[in-house]
Amino acid sequence: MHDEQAPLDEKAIEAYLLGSLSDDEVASLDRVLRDDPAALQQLADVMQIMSLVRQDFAERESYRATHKHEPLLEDFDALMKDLSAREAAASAETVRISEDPIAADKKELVESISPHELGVVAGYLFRKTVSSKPFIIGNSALAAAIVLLASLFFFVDWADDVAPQVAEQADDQPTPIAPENKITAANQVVATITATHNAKWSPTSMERASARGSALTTGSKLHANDRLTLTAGTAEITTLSGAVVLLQGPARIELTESNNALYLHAGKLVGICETESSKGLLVRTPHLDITDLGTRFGVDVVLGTSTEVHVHQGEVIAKTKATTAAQSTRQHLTANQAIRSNATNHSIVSITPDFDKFDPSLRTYLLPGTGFGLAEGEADLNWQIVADGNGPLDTPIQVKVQYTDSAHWDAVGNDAGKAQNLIFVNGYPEYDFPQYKGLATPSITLRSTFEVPKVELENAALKLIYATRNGVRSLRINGQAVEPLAKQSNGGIRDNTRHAATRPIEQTGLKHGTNVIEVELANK
Amino acid sequence: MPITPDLIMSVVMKSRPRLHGYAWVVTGDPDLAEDVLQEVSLLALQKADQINDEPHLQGWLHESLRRQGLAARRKHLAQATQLSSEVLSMLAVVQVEQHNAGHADQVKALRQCIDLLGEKSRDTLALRYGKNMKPAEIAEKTGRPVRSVYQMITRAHTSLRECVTTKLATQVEGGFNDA
Repeated sequence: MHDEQAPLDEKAIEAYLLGSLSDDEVASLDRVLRDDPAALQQLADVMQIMSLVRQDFAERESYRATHKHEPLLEDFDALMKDLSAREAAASAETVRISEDPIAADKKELVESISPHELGVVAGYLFRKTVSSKPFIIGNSALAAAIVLLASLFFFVDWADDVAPQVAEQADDQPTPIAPENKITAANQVVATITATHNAKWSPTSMERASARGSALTTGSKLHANDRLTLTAGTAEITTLSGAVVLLQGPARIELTESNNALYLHAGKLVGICETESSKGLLVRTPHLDITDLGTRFGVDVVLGTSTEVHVHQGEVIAKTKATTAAQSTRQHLTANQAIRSNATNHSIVSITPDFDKFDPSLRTYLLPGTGFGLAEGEADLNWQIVADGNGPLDTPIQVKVQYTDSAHWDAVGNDAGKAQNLIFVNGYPEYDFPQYKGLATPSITLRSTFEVPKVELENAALKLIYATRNGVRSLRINGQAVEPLAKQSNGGIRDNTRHAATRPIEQTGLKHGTNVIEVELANK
Repeated sequence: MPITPDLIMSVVMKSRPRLHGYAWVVTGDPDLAEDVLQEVSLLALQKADQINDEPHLQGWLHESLRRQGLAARRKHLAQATQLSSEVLSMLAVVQVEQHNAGHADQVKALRQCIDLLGEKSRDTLALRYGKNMKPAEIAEKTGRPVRSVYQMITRAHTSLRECVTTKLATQVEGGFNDA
C-alpha cells in the first residue's frame, strides 16, 4: 500500500533490495530518486530504519540462539543490560602487556627452545609483552636421567619443562611440505584463538561470533568461512595444522575450509610454520597467493594498493593473481628477502625487508630441543654424555628419550612435539656401564652440536630455559661459559627448579655455523 | 581536529545504521553490506593520515562504500540491475547532511517503538530480519498473501520511522521518554 503522503512507494524499495524489480522498474525508481529530493530523503530514512531493525532482530535471534535454555528476557532494558554485561565480561578477558626490557632492547632474539616452544616461546615473547597471567615456559627438555644406585636417584628431569635447546643439524635436503591438509566441511572448526593483546573486534565480528556462542577471546574456536575484522590490538590464531598466525589490527581475515589456508583481506599478519603439518600454509591476499615452506614471514596488505611479503626465516613462494596461469608471476623468497605486488599491474618487485613493522615474534629464531620429534625410547643422536666427574669418557654414552616412570613421576606421557627428557640408553647405567656400579659420580657432562643459520646475530639475544632436579654446574657454548641462569621457580610435581635467562649474543659465544653446547649436571 | 583511529571507529559506530543502510542500497544485500562496511572501516584506519577531519571522513566513508559496494555487487550479484551511480552519489550527499542522534539513543528509541507495534507486525519483522526470510517465504510460512506481507513490512517501517523520530525529538527537547 502506498502512503499517499510519501513520494516513494516503499514496496518498490523492498522489491529493489530483493532484486525482484525488472530493469524498467529499476530505471523508473532511479528517475524518481533523481528528480525528487523528498524521495531521496525518504530512501535514506527507510534504509536507516531497516538497518536498525535488522540489527535489532539479528541480535535478538543471536541472543535466543545462545541462551535457548534460559528464560527469554522480554524486557528490552534487561536484555540490553544482559548483553552489555556479557560483552564486558568478554572484554575483561583481554590481557595487558608488560614489556620485556630485553626484547625491547634487542632487535632479534635467538631462542634456544624447542620448536614446540615456538608456539609457546615465540608465544612467550608475544605473551610476555601481552599477558599478565603467569606464563610457564614449557618444555625445552634437556634431561638426562642418571640412575646410579637404588638409594641415590637423581634425575635431571625437565619433563615438560625447558632446557637448553640445540638446533637440528643443518639439512641440505629441501624441507618437504606437509601432506595436503584435510579440507574440512563448511562451518567446521579450523583454528583457535590462542592469545590476544588489547584485541578489539568489529561489532559485526562480535555479533557473528556471539551467534555461535563465542566471545572471540583466548580459546575461542574459529570456523571455516568465518570473516573477522580486528580493529586494534593483536590476536594469535593457531590453525588445526599447527600454523601460528599473528594478526595485527587493523586487519581483516577470512578462514577457509582448509585447516592450513586463510585469506588476508587487509592489514598485517606474521605467519609461523615450524611443524611439519603446518608447512605449506597458504595465505591468499587480493594481489598474491603466498605459500610458506617453513618458518617465519610477514604479510602486509594495503587495501586497493599492494601486498608485501617479508621473509625472516625459511622460504615462501609468492604468486600473483592473473586471469591465466601463463600470466601469473611466481617468485621464490628465502630469508631476509621481501617483495611487493601492486594492485594495478600484478607485477612483483623486490624491496628492502622491513621486519620492524611486524610483531616482534617475526624476528625470533627457535632452536629445536632435546628429544624433539622422537618417540619414547628413541635415541637422541644430537646429545651424548661425554664426561663424568672423573673426566672425559673414552666412549661417549648415547642418551634416549625418557620413559615415564609413574612410580616416581606424575604419569605424563612423552610428546614428540616437545623437547623431552633424555636418559641413559637403557636407563640403568650400572647394568650397561659397570664402571658406574656402586660409584657416585659428582657430575656428568652432556654435549650437543648444532647449527645456527644466517640470521642476524648483531643486536640479538639468546634465551635459555631449563629445569632440573640436579642442578647445572656449568653451561658452555663453544667453550665460553654462560653466566648462571636465574631461578624462576622450584618445587612442583617433579621437584624441578626452573631457570631462565636472556643473554646478549656476545656473552654466550653463539656464532653462525656449527656450535657446541656442553651442560655439566651436578649429582645432588 | 586530527583524525585518530579511535575517532574513526567512533564515527563508524555512531553512524553505523546510516552507513550500513547506504551500503545495503549499493550492494543489494545486507550481509554483503556488512562486509563492505567492515572493509571500508579498515581502509579508513589505514588511510587515517589522508583524512583531514570528521566531515571529510563522513564523505570519504560514503564514497568508499559506493565504490567498494559496487565492486562487491558486481562480483556477487552480477545479474542484478542497480541504481545509477548518479543516484547513489546523491543519496550519499543526503546521508552525510543528515543529522543523526547517537547510535545508542537510536537503538533505545527503536526498541521502545518495536514494543508498540502490533504482535503480527513484530513477528513479521522478526521473520524478515531475524530469520532473513524473504516476503514470499514469510507468506508461505504464515499462510498470508505475499502482497499482505509486503504491506505489513512497509507499514511497520513507516510506523517505526515516525515513532523513532518522535522519541528522539522528545529526547532533544528534554529527556528520554521511557514510558
